[in-house]
Amino acid sequence: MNEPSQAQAAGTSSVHGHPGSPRLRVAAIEDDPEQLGFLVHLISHYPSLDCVGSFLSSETALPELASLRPDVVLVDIGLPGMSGTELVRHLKPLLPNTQFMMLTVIDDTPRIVAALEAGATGYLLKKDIQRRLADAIHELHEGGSPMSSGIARRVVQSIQHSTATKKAAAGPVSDADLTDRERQILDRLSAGMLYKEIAAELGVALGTVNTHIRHIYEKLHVHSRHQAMIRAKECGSA
Amino acid sequence: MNCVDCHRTRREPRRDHSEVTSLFPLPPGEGQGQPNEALAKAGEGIPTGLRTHRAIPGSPLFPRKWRALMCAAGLAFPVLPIPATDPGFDPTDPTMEVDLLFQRRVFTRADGLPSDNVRALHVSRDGTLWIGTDRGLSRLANGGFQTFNHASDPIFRHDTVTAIEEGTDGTLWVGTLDGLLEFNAKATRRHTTAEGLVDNQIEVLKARRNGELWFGTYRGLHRLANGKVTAFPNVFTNSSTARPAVFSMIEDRAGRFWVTGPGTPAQLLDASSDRFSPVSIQGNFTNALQSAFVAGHGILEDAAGRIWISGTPSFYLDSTGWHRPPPDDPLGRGCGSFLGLDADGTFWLREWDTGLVAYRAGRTRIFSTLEGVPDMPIQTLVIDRLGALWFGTPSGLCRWLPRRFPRVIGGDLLPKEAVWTMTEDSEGVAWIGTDRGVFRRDPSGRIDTPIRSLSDHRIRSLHLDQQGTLWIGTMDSLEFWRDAKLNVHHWEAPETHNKVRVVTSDAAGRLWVGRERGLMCRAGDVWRQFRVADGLPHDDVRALRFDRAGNLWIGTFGGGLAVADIGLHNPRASLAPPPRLEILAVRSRTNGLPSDYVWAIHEDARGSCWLGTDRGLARVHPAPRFEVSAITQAHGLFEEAINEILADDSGALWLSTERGFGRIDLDQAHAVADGRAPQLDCLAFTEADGLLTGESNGQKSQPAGIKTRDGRLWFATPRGICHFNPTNISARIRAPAPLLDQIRVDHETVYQFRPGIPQPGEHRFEFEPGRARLLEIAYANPEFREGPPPRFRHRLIGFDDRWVQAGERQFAIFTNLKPGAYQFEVQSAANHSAWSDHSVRCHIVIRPWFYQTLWFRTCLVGSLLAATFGTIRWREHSQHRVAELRRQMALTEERHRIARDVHDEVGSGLLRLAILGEKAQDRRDPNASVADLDRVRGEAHRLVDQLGDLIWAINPENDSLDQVLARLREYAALYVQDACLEGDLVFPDLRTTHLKLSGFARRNLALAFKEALCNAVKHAEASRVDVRCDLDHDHAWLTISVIDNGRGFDPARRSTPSKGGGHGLAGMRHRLDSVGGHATIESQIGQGTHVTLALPLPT
Repeated sequence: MNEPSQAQAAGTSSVHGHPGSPRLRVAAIEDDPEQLGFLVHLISHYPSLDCVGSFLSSETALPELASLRPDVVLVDIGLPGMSGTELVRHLKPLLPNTQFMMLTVIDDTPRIVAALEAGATGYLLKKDIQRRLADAIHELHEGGSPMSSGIARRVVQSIQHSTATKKAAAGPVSDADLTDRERQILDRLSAGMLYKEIAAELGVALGTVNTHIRHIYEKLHVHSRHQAMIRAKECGSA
Repeated sequence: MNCVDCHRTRREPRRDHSEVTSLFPLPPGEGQGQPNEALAKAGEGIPTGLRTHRAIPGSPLFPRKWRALMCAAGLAFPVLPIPATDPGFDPTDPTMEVDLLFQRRVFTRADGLPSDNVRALHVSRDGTLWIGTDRGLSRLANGGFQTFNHASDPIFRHDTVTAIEEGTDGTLWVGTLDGLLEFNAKATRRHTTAEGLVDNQIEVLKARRNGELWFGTYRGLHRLANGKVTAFPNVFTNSSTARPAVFSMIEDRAGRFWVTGPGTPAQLLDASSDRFSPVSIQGNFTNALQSAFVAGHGILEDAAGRIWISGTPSFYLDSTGWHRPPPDDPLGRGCGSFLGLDADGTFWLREWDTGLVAYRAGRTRIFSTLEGVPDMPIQTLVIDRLGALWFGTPSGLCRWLPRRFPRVIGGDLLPKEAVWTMTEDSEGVAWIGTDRGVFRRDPSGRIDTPIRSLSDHRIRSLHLDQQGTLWIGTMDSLEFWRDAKLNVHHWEAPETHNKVRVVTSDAAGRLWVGRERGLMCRAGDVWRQFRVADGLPHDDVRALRFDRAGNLWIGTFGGGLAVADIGLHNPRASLAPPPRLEILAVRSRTNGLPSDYVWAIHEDARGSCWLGTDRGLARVHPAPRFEVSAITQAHGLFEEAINEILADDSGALWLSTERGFGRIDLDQAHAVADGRAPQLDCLAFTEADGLLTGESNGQKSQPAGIKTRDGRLWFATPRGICHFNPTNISARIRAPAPLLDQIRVDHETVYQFRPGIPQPGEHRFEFEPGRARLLEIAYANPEFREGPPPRFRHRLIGFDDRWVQAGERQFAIFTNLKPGAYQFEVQSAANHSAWSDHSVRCHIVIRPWFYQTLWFRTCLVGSLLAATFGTIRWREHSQHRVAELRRQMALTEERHRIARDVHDEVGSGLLRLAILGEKAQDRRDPNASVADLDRVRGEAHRLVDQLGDLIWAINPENDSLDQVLARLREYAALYVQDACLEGDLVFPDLRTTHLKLSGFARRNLALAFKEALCNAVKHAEASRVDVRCDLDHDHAWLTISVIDNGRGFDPARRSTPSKGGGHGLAGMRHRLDSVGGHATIESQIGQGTHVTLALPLPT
């Protein structure tokens, strides 16, 4: 019996990629050698994916990944030393077009949201790796982003908070604020609806929902960077 | 004198009449109608008074011709204005016995004096009488004597006190035979020859107003000023051998200092040169006379400022020079040496071997042993505040109180025995009824007897009717005097009891006569008698009075009071007596009167009638109520046998009784009668105040008192008429303020009265707290009065501001006084007089304990406040901590539960994993191992999920209900979608609520829900699975239903654990039960399954 995966699929089939499209360059960072070997094995298994690097720690990965320029990086969220979130935070500015997918044993919402704020755009439960790794990587590369209800709530809280702060500071409403559609989607996700249901209810295509969610993640990342800057400014000025 | 009528009813036994000496029978015509013109001329403004016709026994000096001579001399004598403080008191009046003049008393060793030989007297400013005797210095206190001599004060080297003087600063100077003693607050000293005195034997003392003390010793005159003694030897140049050196000294109003001694009349001190110069008496006196002047003994200054020097002869100095009274004036010849001068202007002198001499207006009178002077010579004399004479003799101290007031009228013509009744006409002519007929007195004081040949001389009632007829009621007849003619009406036989008690007439002119046997009324010539049969309560009618309504008030002897309407409203009333007595009311003992014997009736300004009975005063309201109230001794009346009632001009009621005269205030009397006040003040004048007799008449003779036109009150007494001016009398008997004698605190004396020590007025006695457990204050009354001892009342202001009646007790005791400031004062009242001025206020301060002081209390309050706040804060803090602890305990409990869960679920899951792994390792069945490995993989995944759920459940941030439901919905949606089934998921929008679900509850709910969903999706073979979630109205219960349209099952059959370790339906129930909810499963074979999970929400 398979438990349903909580990372929702964007709806693409198991045929990955378009024939003739270039292979996706994928890197993986995982501290458990068994799991890392498994990952590499799986990636290599798929013709559409190309494993360009595998690292056992952030420290070894950091200098290499910048020059490797992978399309998707699989990051174990629980890395010793520099954590996966930190790694993403460092690398995202250097690799703006790279999608970072966090791998997690359980759907630890706080840590996942932290990683999303740092710049990740997707996550995958480790138990779903065998079944869905390729799909997930392709979806991520093509703009889909998984989001659970818990994450949606967190995102709402996070962005609302920073909006309030900005409003209090009498700053202009920037593009980083959520649009109405995005808010609607977030609300429904928070209530536990599926992408499919949301799309049906809002009368939009499933891909549109995905796109919106991707936008939400980017805004989340912007917000978190903004917060960090403000904090740094305050600390600097204090 | 016969006791003509002894039917009185009184409390105390009456004095035996036989003691009164019988009257010298008067030959008719003699001794009548001679006014005392001499006295009238001699004293300006002195009414001559009525003289008693008595020869003074044992006074050979004053036969009649001498009196005539003296009168003549009085005509030539320059008029001496005699101060008219109480006109009429003349001790030189030879017709007055000494007993009529003075209330006398002698004090000897038997009364407490240390010695009978009294040599010096002094009345100090605080009212103390100081007595110098052979055995020391005494003072009069509380009716006894307190002595200071060598036994009490070693400063007395010799106990014989020869002179006493008081300095301006309060120092008491005492001259003894061995030194001059000085007593004051600072020190007690003795001045002797060591300081420059010529001699230690002190003879006379005089304190001048400038503070100097002059004293004469046996051998010379001295002055003590500023602590220095200056001797003036040989002031009297001829006195080198004569002793003592100085006789007397005075300082006059002008400030001149006079000294008399042997040899010269007097010496006068020249203030500037400090030397004495002899007084030279000029005038046309012969030298022989002058040289015959041996020595001036006494010297005094009278009220007019004249300086008198007594001697042989005496001289006086006025503004025109020295004068000498004429030789026929006793002073002109010399009648002794001056002792003193009283307030009436009477000079008091002593004849060395003869006695005490009173000189007034050219007349003298000697009082010697026959008059009660115990011994000669009179050594000293003072006059105290009451006006009593105190004089010292070698055999005792005498006190003679002039009977100044109220004065009994006596006169040549008026007998000094019983006066029964009197009346006054509109011109001020008074008619007086006695046992010897009727006397008339005109306003100038002339007395005559125009009415002769009375059929009965025992007059009991006098009445002047509207026509001017004088009605005379006697013991046997009714007579009237009109146009100088006397007519008699005799009662017809067989009337025997004819005594007339009272005669009066009504507004219609009818005559009413109260007799021993009935009430008579006469109108025109018709007489009518009313007896008991006619409605009278008793036949013996004693008093009659008309009220303003015209009703007749009848007082009877034995029947009480009756009020009758006598028909005055009838216009023809005057023509005839009323046919009957319309009795309006009868009041007697049975209905409120204190007694059935009513013999005086008085109507006051308010219309109430006051009745005099033998048991008190009764007030009766007028018609129609006739309410009775009684005032007795219990209310403050000093005597209950009331014979007559008069009102003075101020409205106060004066009562004559068997024991004296009393004055009560009308408002107070009404208040007491109404019951609004418990007591009234009754000012009483009794024999102790100098009254000759306290008895009065009126019980069987009315009216027995009148208010004359000049406002004086006259009362008929068995010893003449007592008359006085009611306005100025009350002030005179006010008692002096008591003196504080001793103050003791806890048995330690802190103040003791001693000579020269002032009263503790301003001094504050301060004591430590706890020291004043017992406070005793003794006080003393400094004056002497006959009669009952004075009453005291005192109060300690600050302890209780009300007066405490101490009765005759002479001390006050207070115990356990709290800290504070107190003032003690005491007053005395003598014999129904007003309360005296208060004594000096004595300040007593008890310092507070430290814990009672203000600063301590403030600190205490402050610290209490701080403690209160501190306690409140601490309580809050501890409550906070308790809440904290509770929270942590709850958390710990929750953790425990979750840990148990983890152990139960995940632990067992892992174990299963191990078992499966072991099975897979078993290579006996190769196919089986693949399946087992597959199972291992699935189980491992499942455990990971379980762990994820667990962590989600533990995280307290996930405790909001809508978050829980969203997660469940998401799960359900994915599950159903993955299974490619249809289904509606209906969940409420709870984002606006703030409902929460604890970790334990949401874990169990989630697990149960997942189980139900698993059954529906995987095992029910359903095509559709719906999920509904509801909240009830009160948000108290959450319900989740999973409905499928599968094959159903029979719920009665025990469910078996489904594959995968879900524990099935029993497990669901158990999970819901453990959070206080319940799980219900409804299913029918072929009808699908409806699972309902319900759990309560925390409020």
